[in-house]
Amino acid sequence: MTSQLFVASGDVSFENKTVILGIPSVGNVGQLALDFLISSFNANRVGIIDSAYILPVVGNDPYYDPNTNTKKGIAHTSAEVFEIKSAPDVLLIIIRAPITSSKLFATEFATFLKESKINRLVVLSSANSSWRMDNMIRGGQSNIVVRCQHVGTGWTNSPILEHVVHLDQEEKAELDYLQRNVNPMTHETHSIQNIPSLPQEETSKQKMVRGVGKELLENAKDKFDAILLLVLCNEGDNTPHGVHLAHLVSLDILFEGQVDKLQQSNIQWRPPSSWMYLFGGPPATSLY
Amino acid sequence: MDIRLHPLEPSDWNRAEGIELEAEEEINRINECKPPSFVFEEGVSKEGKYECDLLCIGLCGAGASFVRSAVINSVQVKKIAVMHQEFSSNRLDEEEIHNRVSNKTSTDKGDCTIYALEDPTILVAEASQKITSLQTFNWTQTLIKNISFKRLIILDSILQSQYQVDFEAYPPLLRSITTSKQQLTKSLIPLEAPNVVEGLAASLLSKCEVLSIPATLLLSLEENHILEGDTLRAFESVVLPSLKIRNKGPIDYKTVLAALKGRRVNSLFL
Repeated sequence: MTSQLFVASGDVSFENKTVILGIPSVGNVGQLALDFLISSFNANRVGIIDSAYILPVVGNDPYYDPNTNTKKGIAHTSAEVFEIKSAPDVLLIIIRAPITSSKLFATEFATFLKESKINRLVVLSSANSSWRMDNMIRGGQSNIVVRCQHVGTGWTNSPILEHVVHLDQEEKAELDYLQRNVNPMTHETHSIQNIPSLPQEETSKQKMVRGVGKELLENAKDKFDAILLLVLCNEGDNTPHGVHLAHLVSLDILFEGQVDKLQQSNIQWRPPSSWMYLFGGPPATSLY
Repeated sequence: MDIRLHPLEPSDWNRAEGIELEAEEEINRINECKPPSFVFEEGVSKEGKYECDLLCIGLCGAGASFVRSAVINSVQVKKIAVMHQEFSSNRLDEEEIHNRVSNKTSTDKGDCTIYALEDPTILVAEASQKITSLQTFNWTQTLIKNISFKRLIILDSILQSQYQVDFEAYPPLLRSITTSKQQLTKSLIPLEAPNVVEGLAASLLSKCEVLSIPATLLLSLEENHILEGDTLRAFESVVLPSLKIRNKGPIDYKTVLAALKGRRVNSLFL
Protein backbone atom coordinates (compact mmCIF):
# COMPACT_ATOMS: atom_id res chain seq x y z
CA MET A 1 0.00 0.00 0.00
CA THR A 2 2.80 2.40 0.93
CA SER A 3 4.53 2.17 -2.44
CA GLN A 4 1.29 2.60 -4.37
CA LEU A 5 -0.05 5.68 -2.64
CA PHE A 6 3.12 7.67 -2.11
CA VAL A 7 5.79 8.09 -4.77
CA ALA A 8 8.94 9.67 -3.40
CA SER A 9 11.16 11.88 -5.53
CA GLY A 10 14.03 11.66 -3.11
CA ASP A 11 15.11 10.21 0.19
CA VAL A 12 12.16 10.83 2.48
CA SER A 13 10.74 9.05 5.51
CA PHE A 14 7.45 9.58 7.32
CA GLU A 15 8.62 7.82 10.47
CA ASN A 16 8.13 9.84 13.66
CA LYS A 17 7.14 12.88 11.65
CA THR A 18 4.26 15.28 12.18
CA VAL A 19 2.19 15.35 9.01
CA ILE A 20 0.28 18.54 8.28
CA LEU A 21 -2.44 17.87 5.71
CA GLY A 22 -4.55 20.48 3.93
CA ILE A 23 -7.82 19.09 2.59
CA PRO A 24 -10.47 20.56 0.28
CA SER A 25 -13.11 22.38 2.29
CA VAL A 26 -15.20 25.55 2.41
CA GLY A 27 -13.18 28.23 0.68
CA ASN A 28 -10.25 25.81 0.27
CA VAL A 29 -8.82 27.19 3.50
CA GLY A 30 -6.71 24.08 4.14
CA GLN A 31 -5.11 24.39 0.71
CA LEU A 32 -4.54 28.11 1.13
CA ALA A 33 -2.83 27.52 4.50
CA LEU A 34 -0.52 24.89 3.02
CA ASP A 35 0.24 27.06 -0.01
CA PHE A 36 1.19 29.87 2.32
CA LEU A 37 3.46 27.64 4.41
CA ILE A 38 5.13 26.11 1.35
CA SER A 39 5.74 29.48 -0.23
CA SER A 40 6.88 31.33 2.89
CA PHE A 41 9.30 28.64 4.06
CA ASN A 42 10.58 27.61 0.59
CA ALA A 43 9.49 24.04 1.12
CA ASN A 44 10.82 21.39 -1.29
CA ARG A 45 8.65 18.81 -2.94
CA VAL A 46 9.69 15.32 -1.88
CA GLY A 47 6.93 13.18 -3.36
CA ILE A 48 3.52 12.78 -4.93
CA ILE A 49 0.37 11.16 -3.57
CA ASP A 50 -1.14 8.96 -6.27
CA SER A 51 -4.68 8.10 -5.21
CA ALA A 52 -7.63 6.92 -7.26
CA TYR A 53 -9.90 9.06 -5.07
CA ILE A 54 -8.37 12.47 -5.77
CA LEU A 55 -9.42 14.12 -9.02
CA PRO A 56 -6.48 14.91 -11.28
CA VAL A 57 -5.21 18.43 -11.85
CA VAL A 58 -1.87 19.76 -13.12
CA GLY A 59 -0.39 23.20 -13.42
CA ASN A 60 2.97 24.92 -13.65
CA ASP A 61 4.93 26.92 -11.14
CA PRO A 62 2.49 27.68 -8.33
CA TYR A 63 5.40 28.82 -6.13
CA TYR A 64 7.58 30.51 -8.71
CA ASP A 65 9.65 33.31 -7.21
CA PRO A 66 11.51 35.54 -9.68
CA ASN A 67 13.76 36.76 -6.86
CA THR A 68 15.24 33.32 -6.36
CA ASN A 69 15.48 32.60 -10.12
CA THR A 70 13.55 29.35 -9.74
CA LYS A 71 13.35 27.46 -13.01
CA LYS A 72 10.03 27.85 -14.81
CA GLY A 73 7.96 25.01 -16.17
CA ILE A 74 7.84 22.82 -13.05
CA ALA A 75 4.59 20.87 -13.13
CA HIS A 76 2.64 20.16 -9.96
CA THR A 77 -0.11 17.61 -9.45
CA SER A 78 -3.20 17.33 -7.31
CA ALA A 79 -1.58 15.96 -4.14
CA GLU A 80 2.02 16.48 -3.14
CA VAL A 81 4.35 16.14 -0.15
CA PHE A 82 6.75 18.87 0.90
CA GLU A 83 9.42 19.26 3.53
CA ILE A 84 10.87 22.37 5.17
CA LYS A 85 14.59 22.23 5.86
CA SER A 86 14.29 24.27 9.05
CA ALA A 87 11.56 21.94 10.40
CA PRO A 88 12.88 18.43 9.70
CA ASP A 89 10.28 16.68 11.87
CA VAL A 90 7.37 17.93 9.81
CA LEU A 91 6.00 16.96 6.40
CA LEU A 92 3.40 19.02 4.55
CA ILE A 93 0.81 17.36 2.31
CA ILE A 94 -1.36 19.53 0.11
CA ILE A 95 -4.44 18.24 -1.72
CA ARG A 96 -5.52 20.59 -4.49
CA ALA A 97 -8.52 18.77 -5.95
CA PRO A 98 -11.83 17.36 -4.73
CA ILE A 99 -11.84 13.93 -3.14
CA THR A 100 -14.36 11.62 -4.78
CA SER A 101 -14.92 9.38 -1.75
CA SER A 102 -14.13 10.62 1.75
CA LYS A 103 -14.48 7.16 3.26
CA LEU A 104 -12.34 5.27 0.77
CA PHE A 105 -9.66 7.95 0.67
CA ALA A 106 -9.49 8.23 4.45
CA THR A 107 -9.16 4.46 4.82
CA GLU A 108 -6.41 4.28 2.21
CA PHE A 109 -4.56 7.30 3.58
CA ALA A 110 -4.81 6.33 7.25
CA THR A 111 -3.48 2.88 6.45
CA PHE A 112 -0.56 4.44 4.61
CA LEU A 113 0.21 6.77 7.52
CA LYS A 114 0.03 3.93 10.01
CA GLU A 115 2.39 1.77 7.94
CA SER A 116 4.72 4.76 7.66
CA LYS A 117 4.76 5.09 11.47
CA ILE A 118 4.08 8.79 11.67
CA ASN A 119 4.03 10.58 14.99
CA ARG A 120 0.84 12.58 14.53
CA LEU A 121 -1.48 14.03 11.91
CA VAL A 122 -2.72 17.62 11.81
CA VAL A 123 -5.55 18.23 9.36
CA LEU A 124 -6.22 21.81 8.28
CA SER A 125 -9.71 22.45 7.04
CA SER A 126 -12.69 24.74 7.38
CA ALA A 127 -16.38 24.58 8.12
CA ASN A 128 -19.28 26.75 7.21
CA SER A 129 -19.69 29.54 9.73
CA SER A 130 -23.47 29.06 9.72
CA TRP A 131 -22.87 26.11 12.03
CA ARG A 132 -21.34 28.25 14.76
CA MET A 133 -22.66 27.73 18.22
CA ASP A 134 -24.30 30.76 19.75
CA ASN A 135 -21.47 31.31 22.18
CA MET A 136 -19.18 31.83 19.16
CA ILE A 137 -21.27 34.63 17.73
CA ARG A 138 -19.82 37.09 20.19
CA GLY A 139 -16.75 39.16 19.60
CA GLY A 140 -14.51 39.11 16.54
CA GLN A 141 -15.77 36.85 13.78
CA SER A 142 -12.86 36.87 11.40
CA ASN A 143 -10.72 34.08 12.75
CA ILE A 144 -12.62 31.55 14.76
CA VAL A 145 -10.81 28.23 14.79
CA VAL A 146 -12.19 25.12 16.36
CA ARG A 147 -10.37 21.96 17.25
CA CYS A 148 -11.59 18.44 17.15
CA GLN A 149 -9.03 16.11 18.62
CA HIS A 150 -9.16 12.37 18.41
CA VAL A 151 -6.40 11.28 20.72
CA GLY A 152 -5.44 13.96 23.17
CA THR A 153 -1.73 13.60 23.55
CA GLY A 154 1.00 16.11 23.37
CA TRP A 155 -1.15 19.18 23.01
CA THR A 156 -2.59 19.62 26.47
CA ASN A 157 -0.30 22.49 27.32
CA SER A 158 0.30 23.73 23.82
CA PRO A 159 -0.29 27.42 23.15
CA ILE A 160 -2.48 26.40 20.22
CA LEU A 161 -5.29 25.77 22.70
CA GLU A 162 -5.40 29.44 23.59
CA HIS A 163 -6.53 30.29 20.08
CA VAL A 164 -9.32 27.82 19.69
CA VAL A 165 -12.73 27.04 20.97
CA HIS A 166 -12.99 23.39 21.89
CA LEU A 167 -15.81 21.42 20.45
CA ASP A 168 -15.03 18.60 22.83
CA GLN A 169 -15.83 20.62 25.90
CA GLU A 170 -19.29 20.46 27.27
CA GLU A 171 -20.76 23.91 27.26
CA LYS A 172 -24.26 24.95 27.83
CA ALA A 173 -25.41 27.22 25.11
CA GLU A 174 -28.65 28.86 24.18
CA LEU A 175 -30.80 27.15 21.61
CA ASP A 176 -32.17 30.30 20.02
CA TYR A 177 -30.60 29.51 16.61
CA LEU A 178 -33.03 26.64 16.33
CA GLN A 179 -35.87 29.11 16.24
CA ARG A 180 -34.78 30.45 12.85
CA ASN A 181 -37.06 29.16 10.15
CA VAL A 182 -34.68 28.52 7.33
CA ASN A 183 -31.12 27.34 7.18
CA PRO A 184 -29.59 29.40 4.36
CA MET A 185 -27.22 26.61 3.26
CA THR A 186 -29.42 23.55 3.17
CA HIS A 187 -32.81 25.19 2.88
CA GLU A 188 -34.11 22.93 5.58
CA THR A 189 -36.85 24.22 7.77
CA HIS A 190 -36.04 24.08 11.44
CA SER A 191 -38.40 24.29 14.29
CA ILE A 192 -38.01 23.16 17.85
CA GLN A 193 -40.55 20.38 17.36
CA ASN A 194 -38.69 18.88 14.35
CA ILE A 195 -35.20 18.82 15.82
CA PRO A 196 -34.31 15.65 17.70
CA SER A 197 -33.45 16.35 21.31
CA LEU A 198 -29.66 16.14 21.02
CA PRO A 199 -27.34 18.38 23.00
CA GLN A 200 -26.61 21.42 20.88
CA GLU A 201 -22.86 20.85 21.03
CA GLU A 202 -23.36 17.40 19.50
CA THR A 203 -25.46 18.79 16.65
CA SER A 204 -22.94 21.49 15.88
CA LYS A 205 -20.10 19.00 16.00
CA GLN A 206 -21.89 16.73 13.53
CA LYS A 207 -22.35 19.61 11.14
CA MET A 208 -18.88 21.06 11.42
CA VAL A 209 -16.87 17.86 11.48
CA ARG A 210 -17.85 16.09 8.29
CA GLY A 211 -16.52 14.72 5.05
CA VAL A 212 -12.85 13.92 4.73
CA GLY A 213 -11.91 15.49 8.07
CA LYS A 214 -14.39 13.35 9.95
CA GLU A 215 -13.37 10.15 8.15
CA LEU A 216 -9.69 10.82 8.78
CA LEU A 217 -10.28 11.31 12.50
CA GLU A 218 -12.32 8.11 12.70
CA ASN A 219 -9.73 6.14 10.75
CA ALA A 220 -6.97 7.48 12.97
CA LYS A 221 -8.45 5.80 16.03
CA ASP A 222 -5.94 3.40 17.60
CA LYS A 223 -3.46 4.16 14.83
CA PHE A 224 -1.91 7.57 15.49
CA ASP A 225 -2.68 10.91 17.11
CA ALA A 226 -4.80 13.18 14.99
CA ILE A 227 -6.12 16.69 15.32
CA LEU A 228 -8.49 18.55 13.02
CA LEU A 229 -8.34 22.33 12.93
CA LEU A 230 -11.32 24.07 11.36
CA VAL A 231 -11.66 27.71 10.48
CA LEU A 232 -15.27 28.81 10.51
CA CYS A 233 -15.89 30.91 7.44
CA ASN A 234 -18.02 31.47 4.38
CA GLU A 235 -16.80 31.08 0.84
CA GLY A 236 -15.34 34.28 -0.59
CA ASP A 237 -11.90 35.80 -0.15
CA ASN A 238 -10.54 33.19 2.22
CA THR A 239 -6.89 34.12 2.00
CA PRO A 240 -6.94 35.75 5.47
CA HIS A 241 -8.34 32.51 6.89
CA GLY A 242 -5.63 30.47 5.22
CA VAL A 243 -2.94 32.82 6.43
CA HIS A 244 -4.31 32.74 9.97
CA LEU A 245 -4.33 28.95 10.01
CA ALA A 246 -0.81 28.81 8.59
CA HIS A 247 0.42 31.23 11.22
CA LEU A 248 -1.23 29.20 13.96
CA VAL A 249 0.36 25.99 12.74
CA SER A 250 3.81 27.46 12.32
CA LEU A 251 3.83 28.84 15.84
CA ASP A 252 2.78 25.63 17.56
CA ILE A 253 3.79 22.77 15.32
CA LEU A 254 6.41 23.71 12.75
CA PHE A 255 8.54 25.50 15.27
CA GLU A 256 7.30 23.88 18.47
CA GLY A 257 9.33 25.11 21.42
CA GLN A 258 10.91 27.85 19.35
CA VAL A 259 8.13 30.40 19.44
CA ASP A 260 10.34 33.13 20.80
CA LYS A 261 12.91 32.59 18.10
CA LEU A 262 10.21 32.69 15.45
CA GLN A 263 8.82 35.95 16.69
CA GLN A 264 12.24 37.51 16.74
CA SER A 265 13.31 36.16 13.40
CA ASN A 266 12.87 38.02 10.19
CA ILE A 267 10.40 35.61 8.58
CA GLN A 268 8.86 37.13 5.48
CA TRP A 269 5.35 35.78 5.07
CA ARG A 270 4.99 35.41 1.33
CA PRO A 271 1.90 34.33 -0.61
CA PRO A 272 2.57 32.08 -3.61
CA SER A 273 2.66 33.67 -7.04
CA SER A 274 -0.30 31.50 -8.08
CA TRP A 275 -2.57 33.63 -5.85
CA MET A 276 -2.10 36.51 -8.27
CA TYR A 277 -5.26 35.80 -10.26
CA LEU A 278 -7.23 34.08 -7.52
CA PHE A 279 -10.37 35.93 -8.59
CA GLY A 280 -9.72 35.99 -12.31
CA GLY A 281 -7.37 37.80 -14.60
CA PRO A 282 -7.48 41.45 -15.64
CA PRO A 283 -10.48 42.47 -17.76
CA ALA A 284 -10.13 42.26 -21.52
CA THR A 285 -9.36 45.70 -22.93
CA SER A 286 -11.36 44.82 -26.04
CA LEU A 287 -14.47 45.32 -23.93
CA TYR A 288 -13.89 49.06 -23.86
CA MET B 1 -39.58 11.12 -28.22
CA ASP B 2 -38.91 9.71 -24.79
CA ILE B 3 -38.33 12.45 -22.23
CA ARG B 4 -36.82 11.33 -18.99
CA LEU B 5 -36.39 13.70 -16.11
CA HIS B 6 -33.29 13.09 -14.04
CA PRO B 7 -32.30 14.95 -10.90
CA LEU B 8 -29.37 17.15 -11.73
CA GLU B 9 -26.21 16.19 -9.91
CA PRO B 10 -23.56 18.85 -9.48
CA SER B 11 -20.28 17.72 -11.01
CA ASP B 12 -17.42 17.03 -8.64
CA TRP B 13 -15.60 20.30 -9.33
CA ASN B 14 -18.70 22.49 -9.29
CA ARG B 15 -20.52 20.95 -6.38
CA ALA B 16 -22.11 23.70 -4.34
CA GLU B 17 -20.74 24.37 -0.94
CA GLY B 18 -22.48 22.38 1.75
CA ILE B 19 -23.93 19.79 -0.61
CA GLU B 20 -22.21 16.55 0.26
CA LEU B 21 -23.05 13.08 -0.77
CA GLU B 22 -23.40 10.39 1.83
CA ALA B 23 -20.41 8.06 2.03
CA GLU B 24 -22.43 5.23 0.53
CA GLU B 25 -23.56 7.40 -2.40
CA GLU B 26 -19.96 8.40 -3.08
CA ILE B 27 -18.87 4.76 -3.12
CA ASN B 28 -21.77 3.81 -5.40
CA ARG B 29 -20.78 6.52 -7.88
CA ILE B 30 -17.23 5.24 -7.94
CA ASN B 31 -18.34 1.63 -8.36
CA GLU B 32 -20.51 2.65 -11.33
CA CYS B 33 -17.37 3.67 -13.20
CA LYS B 34 -16.16 0.50 -14.82
CA PRO B 35 -12.72 0.40 -16.42
CA PRO B 36 -12.81 0.73 -20.22
CA SER B 37 -12.42 -2.26 -22.45
CA PHE B 38 -9.24 -2.52 -24.49
CA VAL B 39 -9.23 -4.66 -27.63
CA PHE B 40 -6.20 -5.20 -29.84
CA GLU B 41 -6.60 -5.90 -33.53
CA GLU B 42 -5.80 -9.45 -34.46
CA GLY B 43 -2.13 -10.29 -34.49
CA VAL B 44 -1.00 -7.00 -33.02
CA SER B 45 -0.04 -7.43 -29.39
CA LYS B 46 2.70 -9.59 -27.99
CA GLU B 47 1.68 -11.10 -24.66
CA GLY B 48 -1.19 -8.63 -24.29
CA LYS B 49 0.96 -5.49 -24.41
CA TYR B 50 2.23 -3.27 -27.23
CA GLU B 51 5.57 -1.55 -26.83
CA CYS B 52 6.39 1.71 -28.54
CA ASP B 53 8.76 4.63 -28.27
CA LEU B 54 6.27 7.45 -28.63
CA LEU B 55 2.52 7.66 -28.08
CA CYS B 56 0.67 10.81 -29.14
CA ILE B 57 -2.91 11.10 -27.84
CA GLY B 58 -5.33 13.67 -29.18
CA LEU B 59 -8.06 14.27 -26.62
CA CYS B 60 -11.68 15.03 -27.34
CA GLY B 61 -12.09 18.31 -29.19
CA ALA B 62 -9.03 20.05 -30.62
CA GLY B 63 -6.58 17.24 -29.91
CA ALA B 64 -8.60 14.47 -31.52
CA SER B 65 -9.51 16.74 -34.46
CA PHE B 66 -5.85 17.47 -35.12
CA VAL B 67 -4.91 13.79 -34.99
CA ARG B 68 -7.73 12.96 -37.39
CA SER B 69 -6.91 15.75 -39.86
CA ALA B 70 -3.13 15.88 -39.78
CA VAL B 71 -2.30 12.23 -39.24
CA ILE B 72 -5.07 9.70 -39.87
CA ASN B 73 -6.47 11.46 -42.96
CA SER B 74 -3.04 12.45 -44.28
CA VAL B 75 -0.63 9.56 -43.91
CA GLN B 76 -0.78 5.82 -43.92
CA VAL B 77 -1.78 4.41 -40.55
CA LYS B 78 -2.62 0.98 -39.25
CA LYS B 79 -5.32 0.49 -36.64
CA ILE B 80 -3.98 -1.53 -33.75
CA ALA B 81 -6.44 -1.20 -30.85
CA VAL B 82 -9.67 0.32 -29.59
CA MET B 83 -10.50 1.48 -26.07
CA HIS B 84 -14.17 1.81 -25.24
CA GLN B 85 -15.55 3.47 -22.13
CA GLU B 86 -19.15 2.89 -21.15
CA PHE B 87 -20.86 5.77 -19.46
CA SER B 88 -23.54 5.56 -16.82
CA SER B 89 -27.00 6.33 -18.14
CA ASN B 90 -28.08 7.78 -14.80
CA ARG B 91 -25.76 10.77 -14.77
CA LEU B 92 -26.62 14.06 -16.38
CA ASP B 93 -23.41 16.03 -16.08
CA GLU B 94 -21.80 17.99 -18.88
CA GLU B 95 -19.48 15.27 -20.12
CA GLU B 96 -22.26 12.70 -20.36
CA ILE B 97 -24.46 15.10 -22.33
CA HIS B 98 -21.58 15.66 -24.74
CA ASN B 99 -21.05 11.93 -25.20
CA ARG B 100 -24.70 11.14 -25.83
CA VAL B 101 -25.15 13.83 -28.44
CA SER B 102 -21.85 13.15 -30.18
CA ASN B 103 -22.40 9.39 -30.25
CA LYS B 104 -25.70 9.86 -32.02
CA THR B 105 -24.06 11.49 -35.01
CA SER B 106 -20.70 9.78 -34.96
CA THR B 107 -20.13 6.92 -37.35
CA ASP B 108 -17.03 5.87 -35.49
CA LYS B 109 -18.12 3.98 -32.43
CA GLY B 110 -14.51 3.39 -31.29
CA ASP B 111 -14.12 5.87 -28.48
CA CYS B 112 -10.33 5.86 -28.47
CA THR B 113 -8.74 4.33 -31.53
CA ILE B 114 -5.02 3.75 -31.57
CA TYR B 115 -3.05 3.66 -34.80
CA ALA B 116 0.55 2.86 -35.66
CA LEU B 117 2.38 5.00 -38.20
CA GLU B 118 4.73 3.71 -40.86
CA ASP B 119 7.28 3.55 -38.09
CA PRO B 120 5.59 1.00 -35.81
CA THR B 121 7.31 2.43 -32.74
CA ILE B 122 5.23 5.62 -33.07
CA LEU B 123 1.55 5.44 -32.16
CA VAL B 124 -1.21 8.02 -32.36
CA ALA B 125 -4.52 7.81 -30.54
CA GLU B 126 -7.75 9.62 -31.34
CA ALA B 127 -9.72 9.87 -28.09
CA SER B 128 -12.99 11.24 -29.37
CA GLN B 129 -15.03 10.54 -26.25
CA LYS B 130 -15.01 12.96 -23.33
CA ILE B 131 -14.01 10.98 -20.28
CA THR B 132 -15.65 12.07 -17.02
CA SER B 133 -13.53 13.05 -14.04
CA LEU B 134 -14.43 9.90 -12.15
CA GLN B 135 -13.43 7.71 -15.08
CA THR B 136 -10.01 9.22 -15.74
CA PHE B 137 -8.06 7.12 -13.24
CA ASN B 138 -9.32 3.79 -14.60
CA TRP B 139 -8.93 4.98 -18.19
CA THR B 140 -5.32 5.93 -17.63
CA GLN B 141 -4.55 2.70 -15.81
CA THR B 142 -6.04 0.65 -18.68
CA LEU B 143 -4.01 2.50 -21.30
CA ILE B 144 -0.76 2.05 -19.42
CA LYS B 145 -1.50 -1.59 -18.77
CA ASN B 146 -1.87 -2.30 -22.48
CA ILE B 147 0.51 0.14 -24.16
CA SER B 148 4.08 0.54 -22.96
CA PHE B 149 5.57 3.84 -24.16
CA LYS B 150 8.85 5.61 -23.51
CA ARG B 151 7.47 9.06 -24.23
CA LEU B 152 3.99 10.57 -24.31
CA ILE B 153 2.55 13.63 -26.05
CA ILE B 154 -0.96 14.71 -25.09
CA LEU B 155 -2.88 17.14 -27.26
CA ASP B 156 -5.64 19.18 -25.66
CA SER B 157 -6.99 22.71 -25.65
CA ILE B 158 -7.68 25.49 -23.19
CA LEU B 159 -10.65 27.79 -23.60
CA GLN B 160 -9.94 31.47 -24.12
CA SER B 161 -12.34 32.43 -21.35
CA GLN B 162 -10.52 30.19 -18.87
CA TYR B 163 -7.00 31.25 -19.81
CA GLN B 164 -5.75 33.70 -17.19
CA VAL B 165 -2.87 35.91 -18.27
CA ASP B 166 -2.04 39.57 -18.23
CA PHE B 167 -2.30 39.95 -22.01
CA GLU B 168 -5.05 39.33 -24.54
CA ALA B 169 -4.53 35.97 -26.13
CA TYR B 170 -5.90 34.68 -29.42
CA PRO B 171 -5.31 31.49 -31.39
CA PRO B 172 -2.93 30.21 -32.62
CA LEU B 173 -1.27 29.99 -29.21
CA LEU B 174 0.42 26.92 -27.76
CA ARG B 175 1.43 26.25 -24.19
CA SER B 176 2.89 23.19 -22.49
CA ILE B 177 3.12 21.30 -19.23
CA THR B 178 5.85 18.68 -18.97
CA THR B 179 6.87 16.04 -16.47
CA SER B 180 10.14 16.42 -14.61
CA LYS B 181 11.76 13.72 -16.77
CA GLN B 182 10.96 15.58 -20.00
CA GLN B 183 13.59 18.03 -21.13
CA LEU B 184 12.21 21.48 -21.74
CA THR B 185 12.81 22.90 -25.18
CA LYS B 186 12.99 26.59 -26.02
CA SER B 187 10.23 26.22 -28.58
CA LEU B 188 7.70 25.26 -25.90
CA ILE B 189 6.37 27.94 -23.60
CA PRO B 190 5.20 26.60 -20.22
CA LEU B 191 1.58 27.22 -19.28
CA GLU B 192 1.54 30.24 -17.00
CA ALA B 193 0.42 30.01 -13.38
CA PRO B 194 -2.32 29.95 -12.09
CA ASN B 195 -3.84 28.18 -15.08
CA VAL B 196 -4.50 24.52 -14.40
CA VAL B 197 -5.64 21.56 -16.43
CA GLU B 198 -8.02 18.90 -15.18
CA GLY B 199 -9.64 15.77 -16.55
CA LEU B 200 -8.03 13.11 -18.69
CA ALA B 201 -5.07 15.28 -19.74
CA ALA B 202 -4.20 15.88 -16.10
CA SER B 203 -4.65 12.23 -15.24
CA LEU B 204 -2.30 11.08 -18.02
CA LEU B 205 0.37 13.64 -17.19
CA SER B 206 0.17 12.95 -13.44
CA LYS B 207 0.56 9.22 -14.04
CA CYS B 208 3.62 9.85 -16.21
CA GLU B 209 5.11 11.97 -13.44
CA VAL B 210 4.48 9.14 -10.97
CA LEU B 211 6.06 6.58 -13.33
CA SER B 212 8.93 8.92 -14.30
CA ILE B 213 8.00 8.85 -18.00
CA PRO B 214 8.89 11.89 -20.12
CA ALA B 215 5.59 13.44 -21.17
CA THR B 216 4.40 16.70 -22.67
CA LEU B 217 0.91 18.12 -22.57
CA LEU B 218 0.34 20.59 -25.39
CA LEU B 219 -2.52 23.04 -24.96
CA SER B 220 -3.78 25.07 -27.86
CA LEU B 221 -5.90 28.12 -27.17
CA GLU B 222 -9.47 27.59 -28.33
CA GLU B 223 -12.13 30.22 -28.83
CA ASN B 224 -15.22 29.63 -26.75
CA HIS B 225 -17.86 29.70 -29.44
CA ILE B 226 -16.30 27.41 -32.03
CA LEU B 227 -13.29 25.25 -32.73
CA GLU B 228 -11.35 26.78 -35.60
CA GLY B 229 -8.46 25.85 -37.82
CA ASP B 230 -6.04 28.22 -36.08
CA THR B 231 -6.37 26.20 -32.88
CA LEU B 232 -5.40 23.03 -34.70
CA ARG B 233 -2.64 24.68 -36.72
CA ALA B 234 -0.87 25.61 -33.50
CA PHE B 235 0.04 21.94 -32.98
CA GLU B 236 1.71 21.48 -36.37
CA SER B 237 5.17 22.88 -35.74
CA VAL B 238 5.70 20.77 -32.61
CA VAL B 239 3.77 17.57 -33.19
CA LEU B 240 4.48 16.73 -36.84
CA PRO B 241 8.28 16.67 -36.45
CA SER B 242 7.92 14.52 -33.31
CA LEU B 243 5.82 12.05 -35.32
CA LYS B 244 8.35 12.20 -38.17
CA ILE B 245 5.64 13.36 -40.56
CA ARG B 246 6.78 15.67 -43.35
CA ASN B 247 4.51 18.60 -43.95
CA LYS B 248 3.45 18.26 -47.59
CA GLY B 249 1.38 21.41 -47.73
CA PRO B 250 -1.63 22.95 -45.97
CA ILE B 251 -3.56 20.40 -43.94
CA ASP B 252 -7.29 20.17 -44.54
CA TYR B 253 -9.04 20.80 -41.23
CA LYS B 254 -12.36 21.90 -42.75
CA THR B 255 -13.75 18.40 -43.21
CA VAL B 256 -13.26 17.40 -39.60
CA LEU B 257 -14.35 20.78 -38.23
CA ALA B 258 -17.51 20.72 -40.34
CA ALA B 259 -18.42 17.33 -38.89
CA LEU B 260 -17.86 18.71 -35.39
CA LYS B 261 -20.03 21.78 -35.93
CA GLY B 262 -23.26 19.89 -35.56
CA ARG B 263 -22.03 18.05 -32.50
CA ARG B 264 -20.52 20.85 -30.44
CA VAL B 265 -22.40 20.92 -27.17
CA ASN B 266 -19.89 22.32 -24.71
CA SER B 267 -22.20 25.13 -23.77
CA LEU B 268 -25.47 23.44 -24.58
CA PHE B 269 -27.60 22.70 -21.56
CA LEU B 270 -30.44 20.31 -22.27
